[in-house]
Amino acid sequence: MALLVTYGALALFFAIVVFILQRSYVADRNFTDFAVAGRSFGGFYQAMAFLNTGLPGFVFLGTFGFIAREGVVGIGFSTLLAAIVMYLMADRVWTWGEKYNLRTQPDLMALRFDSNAVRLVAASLGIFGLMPWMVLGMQSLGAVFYALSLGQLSFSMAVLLGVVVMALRQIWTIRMGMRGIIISDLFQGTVAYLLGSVLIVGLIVWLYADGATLHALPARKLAFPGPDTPKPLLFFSLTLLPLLAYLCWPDLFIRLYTGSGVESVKRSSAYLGPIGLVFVMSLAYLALLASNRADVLANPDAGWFTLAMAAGGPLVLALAGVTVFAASMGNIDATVQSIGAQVANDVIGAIRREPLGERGLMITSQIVMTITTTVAAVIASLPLPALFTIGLFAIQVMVQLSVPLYFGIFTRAGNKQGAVAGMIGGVATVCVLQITWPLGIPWAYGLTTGALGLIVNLFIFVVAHLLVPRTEAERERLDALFGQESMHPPVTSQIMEHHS
Amino acid sequence: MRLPPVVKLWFFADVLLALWPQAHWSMRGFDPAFGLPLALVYAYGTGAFIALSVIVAYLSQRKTRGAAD
Repeated sequence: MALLVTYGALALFFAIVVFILQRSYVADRNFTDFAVAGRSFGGFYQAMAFLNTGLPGFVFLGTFGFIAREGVVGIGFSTLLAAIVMYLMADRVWTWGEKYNLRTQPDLMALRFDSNAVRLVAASLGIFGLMPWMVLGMQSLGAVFYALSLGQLSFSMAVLLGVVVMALRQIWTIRMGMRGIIISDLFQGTVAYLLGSVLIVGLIVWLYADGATLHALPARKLAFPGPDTPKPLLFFSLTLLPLLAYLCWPDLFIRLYTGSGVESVKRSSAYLGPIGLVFVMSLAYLALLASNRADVLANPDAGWFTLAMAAGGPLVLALAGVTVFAASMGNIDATVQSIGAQVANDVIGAIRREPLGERGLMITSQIVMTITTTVAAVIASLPLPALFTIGLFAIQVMVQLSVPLYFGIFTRAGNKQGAVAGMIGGVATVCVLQITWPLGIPWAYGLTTGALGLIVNLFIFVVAHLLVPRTEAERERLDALFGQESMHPPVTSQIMEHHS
Repeated sequence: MRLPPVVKLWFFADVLLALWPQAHWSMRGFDPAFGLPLALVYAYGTGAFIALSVIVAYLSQRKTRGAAD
């Protein structure tokens, strides 16, 4: 009976998502429809899609567990600060996107630096960064199915079940592209973050009623690592890196294109502030408050489910499972779509002598999405203990996009030589350091490898800017791009011609 | 559309408050007024300060746009 409640809730949620998708199906007319939903969605849709991509189910498991184990150092401001970054980018990115028909993040970087090499390197970093997290997302679902099986399934069987369900879900992602993702994100996001917040607050009240108190926690859990510790800059680094990386995630960045205008993107940022604040901070509070319980400490990564079961039995456990399921689903959908769009548009489309047409791009995307889903499903079913380490490594690599991306959007500084060499130099630095120091480098006061990679990356970018003289044609092209002249930049047109 | 100077300053203060190591290091012990750990008071205060800044930015620009229309 209990199993009927827990798995029944998951089945009901899945059925509602499929029903919504079936009811809202509209055939995509072209690749712009498929990749950025025809730039047609309002602020609340955008906000939910952003959260559903940026805060995957892993937040309820890994982030909860990290805070329960390590304390306040695990609390992050990056989601809230990312709303500011998105707000500041909205004018330029949406306007360029609409004017030059940009459909992916590498599209914008190729336009800004007038280089297909920048496009290829950016796409490679983005795809490499996304793939491990897609596998981790599928495995998170395994944790959901395991917890909700109440001991009836082995962990490997639960992972397999999660992978099969998520692979099945991708039929609609592949068929409907970005429009399907955003429509389903509204429902999934509401369940994961609004219903999730209500559940979190309920569990906090229950813990207090049960006698829990923050005063009982060890002092180290209630303070950030200070100058007297081996890693005094760990919290700084754990805040800065995710913040810089946030808009580097290609699947998050294209939220700036899917809005119906600059206004809707900015409105979504305004929604993100309060919704993100309530959700992120209340989850952190819950994890801290529960972190003295023996049952949570026994397996902190499953603490969310442990608390739900203890508080309300199978019914509350089912609700907790549905929130993680909803959050994971949105993230995996966006990842699959983003990999498909980038491989078609920025790898195959850029390498081919003859540009792919709109239909060619759509079909190629769909084939790549099918292959990606299959490969990720197979990898997720294998016992790979180092996968989370690979996921962390992928973030350190992907954050190297931030130098050319942010300088490229907010300033006219830099050139294609610096952008390409800087990203490659940053990645090489990360690769060398990551082998020895996967989390925080003691001789660098706890900075992560990505932060040191960024220093190298930035240095190369600035040196190239100073050493390589800018031609008159390039100056005129940038003037036109940044809106100082009305002429259409001729070289930009060549780089972007496969979109016309 | 240009941001009002006060919003620019607010955004700058957001980043400073969230990233300044001295601010992190000084948050030890419990707040005598609320009985909450200072690290949490800092985290919630900073979070609310950041969230409010984006709302104010959006509303102020919408107001300016409305006046221009």
